[in-house]
Amino acid sequence: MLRINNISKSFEKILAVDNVSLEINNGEFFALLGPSGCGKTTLLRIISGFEKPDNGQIYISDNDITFNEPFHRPTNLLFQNYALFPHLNVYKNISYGLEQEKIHTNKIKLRVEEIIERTDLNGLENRTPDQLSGGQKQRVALARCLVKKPKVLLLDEPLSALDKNLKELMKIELKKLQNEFGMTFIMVTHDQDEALVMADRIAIMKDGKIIQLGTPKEIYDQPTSFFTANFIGQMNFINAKNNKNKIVFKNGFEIINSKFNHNQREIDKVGLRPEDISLKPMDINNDISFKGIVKYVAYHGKDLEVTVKTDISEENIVIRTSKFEENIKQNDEITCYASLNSIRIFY
Amino acid sequence: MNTIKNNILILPGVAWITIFLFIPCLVIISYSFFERGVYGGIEYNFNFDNYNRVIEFTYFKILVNSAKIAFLSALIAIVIGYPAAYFIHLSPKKYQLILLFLVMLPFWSNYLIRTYAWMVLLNNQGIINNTLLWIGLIDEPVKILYTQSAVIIGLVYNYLPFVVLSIFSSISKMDHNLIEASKDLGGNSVNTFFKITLPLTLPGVAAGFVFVFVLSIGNFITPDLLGGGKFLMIGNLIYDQYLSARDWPFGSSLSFVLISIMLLLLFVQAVLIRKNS
Amino acid sequence: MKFRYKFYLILVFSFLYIPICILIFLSFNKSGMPTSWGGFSTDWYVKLFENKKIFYAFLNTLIVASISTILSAIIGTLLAMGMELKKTNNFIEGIAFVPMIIPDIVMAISLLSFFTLIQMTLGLHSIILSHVVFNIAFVCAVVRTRFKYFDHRVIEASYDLGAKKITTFYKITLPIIFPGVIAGSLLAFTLSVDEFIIAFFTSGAGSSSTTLPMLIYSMIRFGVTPEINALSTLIILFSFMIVLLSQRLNKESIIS
Repeated sequence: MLRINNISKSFEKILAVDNVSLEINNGEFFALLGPSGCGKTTLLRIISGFEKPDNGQIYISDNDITFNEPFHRPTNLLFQNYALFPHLNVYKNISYGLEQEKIHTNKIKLRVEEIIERTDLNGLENRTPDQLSGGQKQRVALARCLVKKPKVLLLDEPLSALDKNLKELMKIELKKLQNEFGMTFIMVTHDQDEALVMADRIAIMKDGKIIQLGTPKEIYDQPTSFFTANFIGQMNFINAKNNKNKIVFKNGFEIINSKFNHNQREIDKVGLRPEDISLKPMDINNDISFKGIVKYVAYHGKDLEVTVKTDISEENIVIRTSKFEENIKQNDEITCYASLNSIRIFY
Repeated sequence: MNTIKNNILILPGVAWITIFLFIPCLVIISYSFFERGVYGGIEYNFNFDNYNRVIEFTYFKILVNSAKIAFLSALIAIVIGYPAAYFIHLSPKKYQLILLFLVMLPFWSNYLIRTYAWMVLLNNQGIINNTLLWIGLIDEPVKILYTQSAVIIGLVYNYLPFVVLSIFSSISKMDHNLIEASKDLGGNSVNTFFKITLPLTLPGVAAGFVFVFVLSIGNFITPDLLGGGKFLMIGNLIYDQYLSARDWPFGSSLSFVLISIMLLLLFVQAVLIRKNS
Repeated sequence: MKFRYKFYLILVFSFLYIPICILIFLSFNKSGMPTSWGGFSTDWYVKLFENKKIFYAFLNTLIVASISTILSAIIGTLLAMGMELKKTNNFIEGIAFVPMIIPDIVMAISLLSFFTLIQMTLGLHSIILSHVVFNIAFVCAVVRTRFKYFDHRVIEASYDLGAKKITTFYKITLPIIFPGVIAGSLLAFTLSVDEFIIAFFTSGAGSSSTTLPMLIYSMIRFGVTPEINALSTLIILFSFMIVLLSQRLNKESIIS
């Protein structure tokens, strides 16, 4: 429904968005994820109309809106710091957008009251923004956009200003609202957790380009690049080389398995996620194991993070395991097990 | 924002100031290179005579005197103003705003009237002399009015509020953890003030000083009324050249010198600010 | 707070306010002289209101101040908006700053020279043209401080919600900066009412274009009559009222 074709944008000499193409489906919750400076915010502002691209087009439902002004687009933007009108109360902030559509006052009243109900803002209608808490301000900003029923709602780092607990609540709230309204949401964030939890599909951006596109599961389980694997979740990277169809580690340990088809590429590193390494054997046929000495044990509340020095890698390997492994102490000798299915290879 | 539309916004303001300030300044700068005509008009001979005159002893003395008066006024204003700003800062928060407001209030009354008030106070039959005579501290009236001192008092009086505000602002912006750190490390109150507080609030002090100096050196009303119309400062001299002597070119050259001194000071201040930050 | 601090502040405030109090006191002094107390009287105020010269000068001042304030409020606000909504270069910053620091005598003589050169007749209109120059700078400065508290994103939000540029200006930008515009206007009005030397040089020869400060100056210089104390008192009280009004409207501006 939203098509982005070959969009590029430079600021002075810096290429912020580099030939990006993307298709986003109706009713999708889509995330643009990446570190600061990767171009995700610029792309969002191009979609919302506050920047004009140097090249490329944007189509919404097959209409070319590339150079339309923001007030002529079926999109609405939830600003990162909310941008509430300080001189208007909550009600007037929300009704502002409808007033621009020249809708009859009675109809405006109905829609505004409905959205106030749905975003849990009852009782706050007469307050001005300086009388609201952070979470309340965000709900007002959200209501202000939703009441206009845009085809696409754009969210600029919507959770960045909230404290931890509120963040968790809002993640669920936003997902719920998106489902209820059936609207297309495009969210920009640098927080991988937000993207993984909320989005139907994620585009990882780096240096103005999309380097991987997929569902959260695809991105997490099958990262296609070193950058993505490192950016999403934690990953242990272990140097390794190929020797014909074997994978050889630093200490000579070898994995021989025909399932890995190297296609004549040189292996750079092998990746293993901490949570995929266990202290108990898993599947005898599909296991690899290696020994090591425990360097640190860190209690993370919901699990244990164990740092292990092993022979197969120069760097220490990090394992995340159940907190019920009470017997692990510093300097213990342990054996680590991982399934071959968990191994990612980076060339 | 659209550049063209932005330019429309700033155009009226920029145009007005250019036409009614910059062009007139250019006019007088150009006049400064010409000569006074016989009947008070302008003779368009280009030369530097006027600037040579400025450096002549009599006029140069006035320039130096203006700088001296401006400097003393600025200094005294700082000396009086710093403790005031500091003590207001030490006051309970709820009073601070009111105190600052009261400090600024006199500034909003008419400049002429404020200066006139000092004439009343300082003259030979004025309040101060009468009080001193009455107390018996002096036998004869002390001549304060129409002296340099009166001018300095007038200038300090006028610009003190700004100094207090500027220094107060600097004190407020200071990180007060530093004072606590100093005390924690063994510094007493006096040491802490001179080694920590004063250096850190120097920008506000400097800003206040430059402000008073720049406004004082170009001042006309105060030296005219409190100084008795003698040519104490450049401002009086320029006034006289334009109205009595009708030597507009010379008056212009004096103005140009005055502006140059001011710009130089502001430039130096800007450089120092950049160096510090 | 320690007593010696309070004492010092009392001294400083005395320094600031005694001159003003003396004038107020004298305006009610029947003898009109600081040397002798002739009893409480409002005679000088009566004499003041009977003085035709003062009345016309007052009218002139009102006219000049009102017109120059309106003009500079509009132009100064536009200038402030232009400067804040898009990053300005140092050149424009300089232009908006210079009128505030240039010595008034220099500005006065340069304007006189300029008007003479272009052979413009002098009168109240030339005073107005001159006052607008520095008033633009002050209005601009005050309105700009209002912009510091202004989140530029609300303008984008307004566009995003469907309002075009003019609607956004009227419904969002203007209401938010309005207190600053009023405060700046009050400042401009006060500056114009008080301004002496530029008016003196640019008013021309006729007595029909004498402003109140010009009259006050000549009264001080050439013949002090006690009505001046009454006039001073009224002016002081009037200025204080304007400041209080301005304070109410724009709480941030006095400190900044």
